[in-house]
Amino acid sequence: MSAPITKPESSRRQFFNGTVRGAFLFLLGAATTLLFRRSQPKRTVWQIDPYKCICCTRCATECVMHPSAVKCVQVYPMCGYCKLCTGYFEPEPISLDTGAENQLCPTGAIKRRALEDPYYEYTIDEPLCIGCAKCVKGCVLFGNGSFFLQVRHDRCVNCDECAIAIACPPQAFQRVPADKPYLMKDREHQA
Amino acid sequence: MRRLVRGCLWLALLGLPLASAFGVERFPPPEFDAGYKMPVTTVPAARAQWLSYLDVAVLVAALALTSHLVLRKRSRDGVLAVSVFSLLYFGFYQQGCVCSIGSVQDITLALFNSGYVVPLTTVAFFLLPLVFTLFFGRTFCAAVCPMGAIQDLTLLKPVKVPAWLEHVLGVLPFVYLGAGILFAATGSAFIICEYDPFIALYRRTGSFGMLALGAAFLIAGIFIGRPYCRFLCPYGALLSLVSRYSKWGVTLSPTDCIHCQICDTACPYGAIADPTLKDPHPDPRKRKRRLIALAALVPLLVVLGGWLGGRLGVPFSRMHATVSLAEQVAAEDAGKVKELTDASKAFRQTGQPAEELYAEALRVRGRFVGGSVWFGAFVGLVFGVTLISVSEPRKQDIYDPHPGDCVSCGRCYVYCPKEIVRLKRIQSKNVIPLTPVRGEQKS
Amino acid sequence: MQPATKNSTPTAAGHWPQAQVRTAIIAGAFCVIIAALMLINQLQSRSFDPLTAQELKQLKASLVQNPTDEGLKKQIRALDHNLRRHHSRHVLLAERGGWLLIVGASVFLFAVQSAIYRRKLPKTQKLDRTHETEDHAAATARMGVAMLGVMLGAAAWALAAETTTFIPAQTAKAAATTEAAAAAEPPAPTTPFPTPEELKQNWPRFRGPSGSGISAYANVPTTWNAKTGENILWKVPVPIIGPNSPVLWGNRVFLCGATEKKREVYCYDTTNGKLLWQKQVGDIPGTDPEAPSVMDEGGFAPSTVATDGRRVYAIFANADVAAFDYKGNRVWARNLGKFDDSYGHASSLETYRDRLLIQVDQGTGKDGKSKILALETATGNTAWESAPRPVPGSWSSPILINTGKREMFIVTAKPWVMAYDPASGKEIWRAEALSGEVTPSPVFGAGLVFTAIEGEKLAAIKPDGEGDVTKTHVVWSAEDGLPDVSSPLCDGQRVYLATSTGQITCFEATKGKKLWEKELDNISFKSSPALAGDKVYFFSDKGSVIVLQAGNEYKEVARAELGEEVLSSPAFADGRIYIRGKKSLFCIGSKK
Repeated sequence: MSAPITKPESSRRQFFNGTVRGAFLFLLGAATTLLFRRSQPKRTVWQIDPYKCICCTRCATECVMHPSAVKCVQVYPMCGYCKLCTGYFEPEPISLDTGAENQLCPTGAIKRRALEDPYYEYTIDEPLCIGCAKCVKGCVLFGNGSFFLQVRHDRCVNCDECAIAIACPPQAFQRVPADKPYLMKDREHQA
Repeated sequence: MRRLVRGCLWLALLGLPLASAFGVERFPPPEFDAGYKMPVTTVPAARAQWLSYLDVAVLVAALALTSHLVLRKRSRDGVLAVSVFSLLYFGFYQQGCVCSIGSVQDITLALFNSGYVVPLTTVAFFLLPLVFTLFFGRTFCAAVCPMGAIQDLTLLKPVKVPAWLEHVLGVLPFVYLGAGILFAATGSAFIICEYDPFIALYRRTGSFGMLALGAAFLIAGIFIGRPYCRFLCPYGALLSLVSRYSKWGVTLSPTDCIHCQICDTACPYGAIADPTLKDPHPDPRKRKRRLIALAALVPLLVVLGGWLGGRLGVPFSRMHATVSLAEQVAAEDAGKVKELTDASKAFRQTGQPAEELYAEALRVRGRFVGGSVWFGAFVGLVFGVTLISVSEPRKQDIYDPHPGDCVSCGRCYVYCPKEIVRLKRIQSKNVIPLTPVRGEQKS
Repeated sequence: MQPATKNSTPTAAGHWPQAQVRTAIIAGAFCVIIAALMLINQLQSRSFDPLTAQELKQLKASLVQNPTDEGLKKQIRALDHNLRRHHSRHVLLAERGGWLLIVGASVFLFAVQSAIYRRKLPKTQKLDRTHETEDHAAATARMGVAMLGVMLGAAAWALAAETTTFIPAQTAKAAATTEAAAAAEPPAPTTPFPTPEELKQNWPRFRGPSGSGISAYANVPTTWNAKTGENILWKVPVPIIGPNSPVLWGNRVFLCGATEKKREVYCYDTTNGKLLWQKQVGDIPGTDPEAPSVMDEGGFAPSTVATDGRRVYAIFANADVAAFDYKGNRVWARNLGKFDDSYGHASSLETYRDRLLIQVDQGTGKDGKSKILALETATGNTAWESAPRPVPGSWSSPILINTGKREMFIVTAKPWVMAYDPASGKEIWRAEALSGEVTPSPVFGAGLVFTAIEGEKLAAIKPDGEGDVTKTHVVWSAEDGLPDVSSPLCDGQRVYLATSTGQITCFEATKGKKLWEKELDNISFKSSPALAGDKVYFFSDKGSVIVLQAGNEYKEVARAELGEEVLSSPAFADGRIYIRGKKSLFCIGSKK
């Protein structure tokens, strides 16, 4: 509609402002060159290294999302399909059934299903999981470690600085490429 | 009996050191007969890459549109509309991250730590508003920034903050900026993100404290215009610096100001600067002496700030994970604390000697002490410059938005009587030449 | 949000239109109620937090004491059910409450904003501004700023005074060493590729600069003792065993390793042998999930990595190529397409300026699958690709040489030794000098390119020809002591060969006269010899090293044992030798 109204300024001030503006532009240019060398087009996202995790429950409490964006996953090829799953049952369960007194998961998010004897399948009902890692601890300590925590990217808002990462005692959180956003366990790992 | 055996088994297993228990295949996965289909672990994808390019595109579009609306259309309604859009897109849809305010810290970390690779999107979010501000003033603050937008939209009954208080609180954004840079550069924390009051609202979830802080800011913001932008926002501090030298910016009617002061009343952000008094100062020598004294005070304040800042290096360095871990381990070793933390337990399990940790912590602390000296000196400088600028305001002849403080919201356009007349005439006849009438002025 | 219609504009100053007022009041009340409910919900949810359910914990503990108490069980089940019900209700309430609050707040804001839209402003003319009032205002502001400054300063002072630290200030040794290590960390390079001098000072690829096996440093030990630890600065395990050799840059040592399923690159600190990082190459689109067929000896990572001081590059038998930066971030990775190679692709990498050169020889030689690939080191994109090479698979590593007139990329495979322009991939010359399964790599010295393979010959080729130079530029050839795996070494005057049967043979370099040969009992060489100063180092498969004086006669200077099998070739640095044994990486050097 109209040209921007130039600021009513004296020519001296205009000159001074122009000089400072030039300096700012130069600074920005310099910063840009430097930054472009240290930047990459690809986004990164946060992920937890399951081999560093110590199951401290901070993932459940520190996340800016409530409930946490960190949840437990089950890698089936690693699972022993144990009848006495140490991720599912309390230590020293009274009996190996789905009674609340025997279950470790505080929200009952693990589903136990009988397969051919003596094997049982354990699946995680993700909406219920709060990422407390109680089952992870049981599975890592006494089982194959097929339960472990992962940041779920359908829920993670990818904070610039992850609140759990700051609080994580073993510093198991790291940035990973967004196109490969999971750090899954596998059977071959020798660490 | 069976229970006893099992109990013994548990006890035996409990004795196992945790470290050796990682990644052990104790129970070979079974070979199932046909018929069992092993479920696949789902891996929900992260936000797609092209969406982050879209964010940048939307940012550019919003910046360009707002600049156009503010400077060419001079349309408050347009700015309002973009605000609503930005609030929805950058706020509720994008949920705050990445934002330009927080990007300051990414950029700092990338500049100080060559190992930190910053995504190009973040660089764009940092640079684009700065570049736009350099040319068009703080149009980013006007309607593009979701933090600004939410405060602008929730401002209902503006109360004038006394000018002196405004000056005092105006120091805080720079202190916050300095602290944000210090903690980011040392790789300790992104405090600007951590204490972002509105992001929890955009996410509709968060810790009680953050939600309460957000609510408190919003409620305060009903009466005090943009409290976060004016008295805390570190990126706003940067933009206000840059905006002082912008090529164009919000300015009221180019025809003569009638000194009605309506713009001053209309501006809820105290950004309208008063004209310089015409009559000469009764005691120019006193004034000059004071100015000289204040100018001489600046280096003193810088030195004092640097010295005080240096003393803060040790306490500040505790924000760094390595230092706080080292402190904990050292306190445990010295018998000062009984309770081991998860972090110190995890550290002790790695078997790394404590000396290495201490050495690393001391190195980090060394960096902190150096950084804190700069930080303190910077704060001293800010105080010094503020004292001078308070005593010697910018010279101008009319009531006009201060280029640094004005967030380009366009409210004054609506109320300036000269501007109303001017805009009407343009709309109806399009005859008034739009070249600046007051371009030539005495210095 | 801009109802600029007439009916919404106030008719009289200060009087809000009724409709908006009512809406605002209702919406406002709604917001307050929802907010209050959410607050209560939030406070309540703490007592139903499944993580910290004390009562349940206690009940469960007492159940362990009385495992048969059915009543207790029922109690636990009821409590658990109750807890979970409340928990999920709280989560749901928080979620829905958030939305309701947003809707309510929007309505409220819309109502109030439209009511006050362009409202008339109260007339609040400022009092007459005079210099006196202005000065007074400025003085108040100055006072306020000063007060704030004093407050901040006092807070800083108090914080500093209150802080105590337990970290011992003088952990002198550790501090000094890490300080030194930190200081020794090379500044981030600013150029895209290293200068020839930088390359010479480091050990950037298999057999060092130009693949010559010649160290720039003469001050390395000739003896050590694995048992007593004499001259062994450090020894660290390598996570995955393999025959590829270490490369060096600054204070970093790089290696790689692979199994059927994973491929890793390792970075060690030269100062203390600390594994700085261990990174999986990870999944790359296009990688055949089925592992390639390989020989036991070579394994899945027979090729040595290369580095240019900016990144480290690794190639694996399954055709994965990856680049990592010095912090261990994967910069790029790609798969070259499954190799048609039943032994496992084994050629090591070379860098030329900002290009990564890869010898991709495979197949039968008639199928056009063999080629040279040049990738951009920064991105991994293909820079050029040579014309199809008329050769079958080869297991030797190419070298980049500088004849003084031009740079050439020498690639050996049956039957051709071929020279390429490293900038364009155009062939320069070729000579027929090889047969069989070519594994030893070429070397360049005394102005000649030497190639050798068991069952054919040792050939010395003058690299200044063009086209097929078989008849014109093969200066001399010999057929004694030809190696099967180990590569030749040229010290400028002589050429040394070592075989897996334990024979070392030495020829005069320019004329090809055999100077001496030596049969060693119970010794086999697969590692390639290396020269440091005037000493030639031969590492045997069993881990013995035989150090000879470079010269026209066989003269043994020293022998030492590593205590581990060695298939890789050593890397040399200032005062140090790095060698990868079967399980460990050794750093040999004088401890002084």
